[in-house]
Amino acid sequence: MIFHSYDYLVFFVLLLGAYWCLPWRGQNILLLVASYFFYGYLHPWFLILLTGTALIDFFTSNRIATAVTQEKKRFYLGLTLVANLGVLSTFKYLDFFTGGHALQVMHWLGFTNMTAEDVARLLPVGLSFYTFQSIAYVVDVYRGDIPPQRKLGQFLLFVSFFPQLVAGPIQRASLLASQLGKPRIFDARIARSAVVLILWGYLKKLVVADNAALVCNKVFSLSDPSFPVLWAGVFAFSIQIFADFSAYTDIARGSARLLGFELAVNFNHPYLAASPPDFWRRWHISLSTWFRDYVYIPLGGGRCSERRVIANILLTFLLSGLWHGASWNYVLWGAYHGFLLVLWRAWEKAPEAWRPQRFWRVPQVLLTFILVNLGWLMFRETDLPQLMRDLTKSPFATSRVDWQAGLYLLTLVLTYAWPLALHAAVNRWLADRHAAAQAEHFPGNKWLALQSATAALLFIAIVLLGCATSADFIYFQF
Amino acid sequence: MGVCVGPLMASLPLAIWQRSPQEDPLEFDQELRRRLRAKPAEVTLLGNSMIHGRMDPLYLAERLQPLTTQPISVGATRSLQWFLWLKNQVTQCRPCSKLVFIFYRDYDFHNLGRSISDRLLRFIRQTMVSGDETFLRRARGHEKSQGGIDSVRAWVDQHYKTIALKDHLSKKLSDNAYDAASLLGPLDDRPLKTHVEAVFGLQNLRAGAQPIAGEDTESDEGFRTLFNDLPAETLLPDFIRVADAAGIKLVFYHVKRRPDASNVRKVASQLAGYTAALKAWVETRGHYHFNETDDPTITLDMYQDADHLKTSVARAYTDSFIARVGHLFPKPFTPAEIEAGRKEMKALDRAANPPR
Repeated sequence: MIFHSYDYLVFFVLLLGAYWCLPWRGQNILLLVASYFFYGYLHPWFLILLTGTALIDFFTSNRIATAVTQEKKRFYLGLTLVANLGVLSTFKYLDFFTGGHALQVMHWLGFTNMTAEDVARLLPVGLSFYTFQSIAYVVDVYRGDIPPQRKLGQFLLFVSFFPQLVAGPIQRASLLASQLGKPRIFDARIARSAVVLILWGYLKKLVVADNAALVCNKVFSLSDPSFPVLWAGVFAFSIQIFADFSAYTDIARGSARLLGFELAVNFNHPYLAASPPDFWRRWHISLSTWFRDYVYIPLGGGRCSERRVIANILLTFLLSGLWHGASWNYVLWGAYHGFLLVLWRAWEKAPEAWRPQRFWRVPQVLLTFILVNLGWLMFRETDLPQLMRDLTKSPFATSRVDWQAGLYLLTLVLTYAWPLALHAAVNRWLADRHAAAQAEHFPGNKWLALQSATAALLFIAIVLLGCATSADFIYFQF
Repeated sequence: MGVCVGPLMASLPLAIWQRSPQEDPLEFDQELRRRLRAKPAEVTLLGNSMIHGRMDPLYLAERLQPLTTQPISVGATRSLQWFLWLKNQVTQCRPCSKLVFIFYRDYDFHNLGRSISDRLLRFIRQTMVSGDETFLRRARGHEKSQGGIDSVRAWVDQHYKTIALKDHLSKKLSDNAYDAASLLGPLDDRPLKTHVEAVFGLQNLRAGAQPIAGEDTESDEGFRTLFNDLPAETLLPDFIRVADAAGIKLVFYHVKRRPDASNVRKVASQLAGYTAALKAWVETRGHYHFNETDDPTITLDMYQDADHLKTSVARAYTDSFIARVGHLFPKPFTPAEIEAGRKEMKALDRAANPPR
């Protein structure tokens, strides 16, 4: 089920009504049933994999907690890693690792009736997200950071909690599982903020992302776009992917909030980042921190020789790239970002005098944005020879008319994207005024009026500016 | 309670703005009827841009002489409009056409709820006579019965005319972007538009890439059905009934949509099954069905965009069309038939109530 479907709206409204009528334990049971319904809505067989890996993780985490020797603990941890990564490798990377021969492999295994379309359908949506969430949980238990879940139902709900199941944010057990274990109280103020968050998510998806996607898809269907047209398309993609993915997160967080849960923040205005490391502290935060905590730090992190640190950074980002998809362009994208971080590390070690101190922030943000866009080109362009052609295009071998065409596309994308900038500015303004308790800044009913007016504006904008042809969320494919 | 306030507030301006969906009175297109009656045609072609965006009508008329042909096509129209043309225009001419081609794509006949709003609704209402509201209601019912977010959109549009406003806003935003871009370069907005269209022209697309906008996405995107799912809910039985009553043979003509670089149009198995079932259904009722999808002579380089062909190949396409269906063309009307038809028409005009 997808968030921007009528089916989801009906499903969620019915669920919400029933949910708040039930006691706490009943709520958990209902949520588990609803999560399984949500995930198996189109392809019920996806549930087999989800339940299978969850059962293994439940079993191993409890064994780890009761094991007396370190060897046994390691054994069960290994079992979890093999199961989760094995499932991920088989269903997501089979075609990649067999050099595009997944269909032949399936035929060889005896599935002779399978077609290429069937093989493509084998990848369950959200697989990368929930396997990573489960791995983090078992590793945390292994490290002794959290106790294992003793109740199977609660654990299954932790893995399958529907708002974040398909495209994150990847939740840590310390945040989500702890909320599952205690009663939730309905708070009208929180619920109102959730409604606004959901509407904001829909606006980002249906107005910003889908309209930017029209421009981006057009440009990336050209065989030889001119320099300005190409980069207008890349800019459109940078808007699309941010608006699309953060929209999913907002709708997920808003939906969870209406159910009484608070999910982790996944984005923090990433295009205002002033450096590549800053970008990764703001972009897909739940995945970045996952790789930091479960790959980079276990490899030694920054506390080893310089060469080893560089190798750790590059390896972490290569894996991050591969996580996004079984294709070489994602690997290249990961390597590129790893390389940027290594360069930035070198730059930070340069003498203070080399680095300008005043008025540095704006050019830094601009430069980071340009570097990130270069990465998005690698991310979006799946055809490597075409990517090489795109990267070698010269801005000087372009007519003024082509610059005009590029400017038109850029202006069109900006026309739809300005709410993102406004949102960033408003957030900044509120943050500057210590608006953690925003309601206190607007006494009486003013805050309610402001929220309602915002909701009304968002609703009207979605109706009037929403793109007629809406695509799936981009991160579904990962 | 508080959680309801936001959405309630959101709906407040809309509630104030709400207008009850009133229909304009029917304004029958007498001019088209006069034109058709003035020149009785043995062969009529009904459809949308799949006729005028592929064929050369003057050349067709020239090639088929002494037969008279009459193409009636308006871009983006669908089966409700075609049916109304058949029922209220073509069959009201005397002598009546002997052969009527209906050019269609994929699921046009089952996707009854498409193309029935805004400009296209105006055309539909210009072809309706009293009593035809039932067909429009059926199409609208079908539009809603498809479920999903579309039905909500349809409801909202019916009450608030949002689609027209959306189209207006979208065009305005695009025009503004053109204005902004035209400030910076040698081209004014109109030539710039032409240039941008050329940039995204079919010849510039990668091999295998589909055009993003236009008729391609307009046609049945996301719509899938089995032929047997809803046959009675389409207008197909009505097409047959009206044609049989007027002694017309119908030809349901599926055009070849834009192929890939190897000139093959890949068709999903469900659509292939649907088309075969439609063909069998039509033929068992004594009418014809043609599908040019597998015709290798219609090649990628003939296409201008989406499913439209280049003007330069319109004659070649017309020739291939004639070669494909030439054996179906009837004999020309005899002078006696034409004279008898005129007399009948005068008698009909006297007897008939003027359309509302």
